Amino acid sequence: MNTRPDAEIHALTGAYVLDALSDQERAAFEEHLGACETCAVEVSEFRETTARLALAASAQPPAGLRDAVLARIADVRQEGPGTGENVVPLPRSRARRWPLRLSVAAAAVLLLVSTTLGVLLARERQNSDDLQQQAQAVAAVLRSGDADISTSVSGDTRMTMVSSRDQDLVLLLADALPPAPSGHDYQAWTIGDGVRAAGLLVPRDGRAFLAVHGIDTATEIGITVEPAGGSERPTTDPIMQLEL
Amino acid sequence: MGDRARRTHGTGAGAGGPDVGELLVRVGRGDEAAFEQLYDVLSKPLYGVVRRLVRDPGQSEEVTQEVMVELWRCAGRYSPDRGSGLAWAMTVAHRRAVDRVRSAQASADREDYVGRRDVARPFDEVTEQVTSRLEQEQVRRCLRTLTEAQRESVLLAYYGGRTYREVGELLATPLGTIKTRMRDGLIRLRDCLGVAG
Repeated sequence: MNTRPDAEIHALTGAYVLDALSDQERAAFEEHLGACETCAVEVSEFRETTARLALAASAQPPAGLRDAVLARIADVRQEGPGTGENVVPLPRSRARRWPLRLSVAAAAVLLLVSTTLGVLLARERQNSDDLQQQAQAVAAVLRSGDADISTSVSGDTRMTMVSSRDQDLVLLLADALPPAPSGHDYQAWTIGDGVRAAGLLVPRDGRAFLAVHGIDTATEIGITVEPAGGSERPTTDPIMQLEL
Repeated sequence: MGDRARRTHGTGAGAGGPDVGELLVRVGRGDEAAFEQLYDVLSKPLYGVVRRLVRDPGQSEEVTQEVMVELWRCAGRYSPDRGSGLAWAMTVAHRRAVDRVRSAQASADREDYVGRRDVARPFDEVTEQVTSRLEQEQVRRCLRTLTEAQRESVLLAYYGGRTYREVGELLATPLGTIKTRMRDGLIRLRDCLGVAG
């Protein structure tokens, strides 16, 4: 049994159930799993087994958590069965927002913006023209009188947004953004009277940058996880929403 | 013996409680009362595992909340032929918490890395917080049927959130060996606990 060519990937059942594989290995194993019934049985048994490790680690959660959870589900839409089978979405949390209009903190954000751009610039020489343009866009937005800078945090991901109605432009900078689930991309949307696709946020080492031109009457920017290349309309709930 | 084990796994957090799988099916239909019961059954194992992985109490609370909301959102995907409700829910929870830990590591604190070396050892510390004493006893007894190397590999991954590569580095052991240890360790644990798939 262990002499088959797929014996090696078969041996990953344990590491898979323990979530000890890298994203790529996990995706490869899941593909194998669809065609390997013995593996599927073993995975299922191992999941029952690790559930017992979870029970054995039981701990009393903080008192306020129950009410907080029950309050949250009131405005979370349920999805129908059979969607997004293997996609475990990213940590989502209600984004906290601190407007930093013309404050000292804006200087810190500015530093972050330039650092992020600098890093991206150094890393992607082939696209440096693009990035030059983006750097100019940042400069233009920051010079405009009505630039509004805000930062949202969801999990470890920090999203900095610089927007200007005058320039009709929003700049999004993500920090510590984990890679999108395999076969998926992060897509930004402007949300107002309607929902419009605003481009993909592709993290490199956790950093991503996107300039959104034409915000019109939009009141929010939403980020969703979409099949690779993006969708015409959002197909999942936003993992992050930023008020303009 | 086998009966007891099956009963425990069927009922989730303790004998006599509502069945997690049935609750998930009801929650999938939008039943909020069922969700409240689901919270009461799952919150302790869920918080316990997340706390082990994430460590920081504030973040653990946040991740636990995210997972519960996630379960509300995607409960419709669960069906009983996919295994017990508890196993399904804990799979969602563990992966979510591990993703959180890894993205935090990717962004900064590699120094905490070494600190996590001791994750496999203080199992006593884990079990202190255990509410279900029978469950704790049985799991602890069965963990003793693993070799020390198997136990360390399994627990570093499950409670410590380490990839098998990281476990290999920590234990200075070839990756093939680590994979095998994880699988063999889970096989022993499964057989000792009398778990059915």
